Amino acid sequence: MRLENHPVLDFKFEEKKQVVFYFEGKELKGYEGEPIAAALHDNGIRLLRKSPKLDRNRGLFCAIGKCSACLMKVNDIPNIKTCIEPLKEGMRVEYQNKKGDLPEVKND
Amino acid sequence: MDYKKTGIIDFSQVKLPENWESMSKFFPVIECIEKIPCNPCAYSCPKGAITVKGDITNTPEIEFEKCNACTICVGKCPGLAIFLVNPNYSENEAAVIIPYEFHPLPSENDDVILIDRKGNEHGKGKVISVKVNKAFENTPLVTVLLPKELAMKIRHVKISKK
Amino acid sequence: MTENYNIVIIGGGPAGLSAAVEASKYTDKILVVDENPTPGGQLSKQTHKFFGSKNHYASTRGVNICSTLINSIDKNKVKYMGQTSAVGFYKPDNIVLETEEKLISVKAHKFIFATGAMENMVSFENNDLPGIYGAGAVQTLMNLYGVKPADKVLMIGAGNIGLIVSYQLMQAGVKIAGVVEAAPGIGGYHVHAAKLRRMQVPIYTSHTILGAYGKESVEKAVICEVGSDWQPVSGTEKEINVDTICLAVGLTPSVELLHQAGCGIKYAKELCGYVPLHDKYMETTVPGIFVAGDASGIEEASAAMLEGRMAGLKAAYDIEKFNRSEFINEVEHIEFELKSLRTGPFGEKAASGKKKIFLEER
Repeated sequence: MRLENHPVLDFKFEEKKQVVFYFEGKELKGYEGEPIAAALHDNGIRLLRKSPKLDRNRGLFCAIGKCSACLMKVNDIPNIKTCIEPLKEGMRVEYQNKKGDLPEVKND
Repeated sequence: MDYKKTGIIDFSQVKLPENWESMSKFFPVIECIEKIPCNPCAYSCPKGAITVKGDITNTPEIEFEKCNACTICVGKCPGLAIFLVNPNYSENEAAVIIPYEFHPLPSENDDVILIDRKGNEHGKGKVISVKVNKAFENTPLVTVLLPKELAMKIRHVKISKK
Repeated sequence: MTENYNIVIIGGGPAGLSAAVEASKYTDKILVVDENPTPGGQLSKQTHKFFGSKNHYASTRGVNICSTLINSIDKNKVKYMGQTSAVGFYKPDNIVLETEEKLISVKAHKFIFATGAMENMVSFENNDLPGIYGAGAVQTLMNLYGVKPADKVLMIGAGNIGLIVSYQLMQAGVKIAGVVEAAPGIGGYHVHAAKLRRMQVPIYTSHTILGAYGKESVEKAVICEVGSDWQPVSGTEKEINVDTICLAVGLTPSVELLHQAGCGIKYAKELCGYVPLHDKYMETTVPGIFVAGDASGIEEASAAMLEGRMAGLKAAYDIEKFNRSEFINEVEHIEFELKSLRTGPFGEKAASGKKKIFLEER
C-alpha cells in the first residue's frame, strides 16, 4: 500500500514512472528507480530468501546493503542487494538457491 | 524523575501565569522540562516573551504579559511540547490550541475525542479552527473547545468516527 | 587508469554532504561516493523538526535540511557517484570503488570517511523472521518510497530513534502496539515520549522481547519484564499481536575502511563502539585521512553536519592554504557550535567519549 496521503511528505506518485516487473514469473508493478525490495513490499511480499544452511525465512532488515537478508536473483544474477538495487522495467526477480548459482559465462 | 519511566510529567513542573484560572486569553503552556540543546521557541517569539538564558540546554522561561498568542511557538517547537490555553474562552468552555501532524486533519466544527497526557479519553470537544502555515513547516494547529476543568489536561485529540 | 581528485568523501549522508559543501567553498575536484542512488543518508528520511539552535537548522524538518544541503552543492566542483561502494583503501592515497559493475582506482590528496553506522541486533527467538526491521529500514520504506511498512508494530528501544520512528510510523497510518525498553528509564528526550503517551502508545520500561513468532513472517511477539539484574523475570510473559517488529537498540560506527587505512582506533563506550582517534579538525592518526559523522561516534545529525564541515574545511585548507585568519575564524565558529551540542545530560556522554579519543593537534 502506498502512502498517497501523508501529513508531511508528498511522494508525487503521479510523476513517477510505474513499471512492470516479474517476481517468480508473476507480473507485478512498481516505480522505476525504487529499491526492488520496496516494490516487493508494496506487493505484500516480505519473504525474500531462505538462509543458506538452515533454510530459515529471511526478509528485509537493514535496507542499507549491509546485512545480506535481502539477497535475491535478478535477471539471472544472484546475490543482488534488493534493498538498494533500483527497479527497472522488465526485471525478473527470483528466489536464489542458497548462496546463489552463477549463470553460465558465454565465451565469445 | 518518574517522567523518565512513564513519559508523563508532574504537571506542577510546568510554568503557568499567576491566577491563570481567571484569565480569558490564550497563554503558552510549555511542557518542556528537560535540559536538551534547543531554543527555536525563544528565537522565533516576535515579542521576546520566551527566553532560553545562557546555555541552549536551559529550559525556556516565559514572561506571560508579553505574549500576544500569535501561535508561532506552538508551530516551531520541534518537540511539539507547546500548547496555547485559554481557560475561559466562553462562559462554559476553555480552548486549547494543539499541534496536530496527522492525516486526515480535522475540519472546523468537527467533533473530536479529547485525550490527556496519559492517553486517557475524556469525551468530546469541538474544533473551531485548523490553521496551517508554511512559516512553521506546515505543522497544523488545531483549536478545540472543551470543558473548563479539562483545560490543563487535554493535550491531544483524535477524530471521532461517525 | 587511476582517477585523481583533491578530496574524496566516502559517504553522502549529512556529514559527507556538509564536508563537500564546505570544501567546495575553497577548492574543487571533490568526489562524493555513496552506495545509494541518491545522497542524503539517514537525513533524507527524517520528517521531524530538528532541535538545536538557529545555526543547527532548528525547527526545520530533516528532509528539508537534506534538500538544502544537496541544492547547495556546486556541481562544477563536486562529483557525486551513487550506487558506488568503496571496497578497499590502499596506503597511502588510493581507494578502490565498485561502480557500474566495474572496479575503479581513485587517488586523492585528502580522504574524508563519513561512513556512518550500522544498526545493532537484539538476541531473541526467531529474530531473523521477515517483518523484523532495523528502525532505519522502516523509515526508508515509508519516508523515501511511500510504502506503508506495516499494520501494527512493536518497537524495541526507547532512545530517540525508537521514539521518533514510532511517531513517524503513526503518521504513516501504522498502529504502535508499544515501545519496549530494557532499561528502567526512557533513554530519549521526554518530549518525544510525551507525544507517544498522549497518542495512547504504551511504553514498557524494564521489559525485553523474548521471541517473535509466525509462519512465514511475524505474527506476534512475546515480551517480558526484566529484573534489576537485566534478566527476564519468569511468569511476566505477555503476547502481543503485531505484524512487524522494529529494532532501535543503538548504532555501531562503521570503521572498517579506516581500520584498513591504518588509522589508530580505540573503543569508547560513550561513542558506541570502536572509533578512530582524531584531532579537533577531525583528522585521524594518518595524515590526510579524516573522519566525520556517526563513523566518529554516535551522535545526532546536527553534530554530523558540523563535523563534516570541520573535516571539509581543514582538508581544503591543507590543499589550498587560503587566508589563515578566515580559516581560524571558521574553525572556532564550528568548534563553538559543536561544544554547545555536547552539553546538558544528553550531550555530556558524547563530550566525554570524544575526550577519550582526542588527538592533540600536530
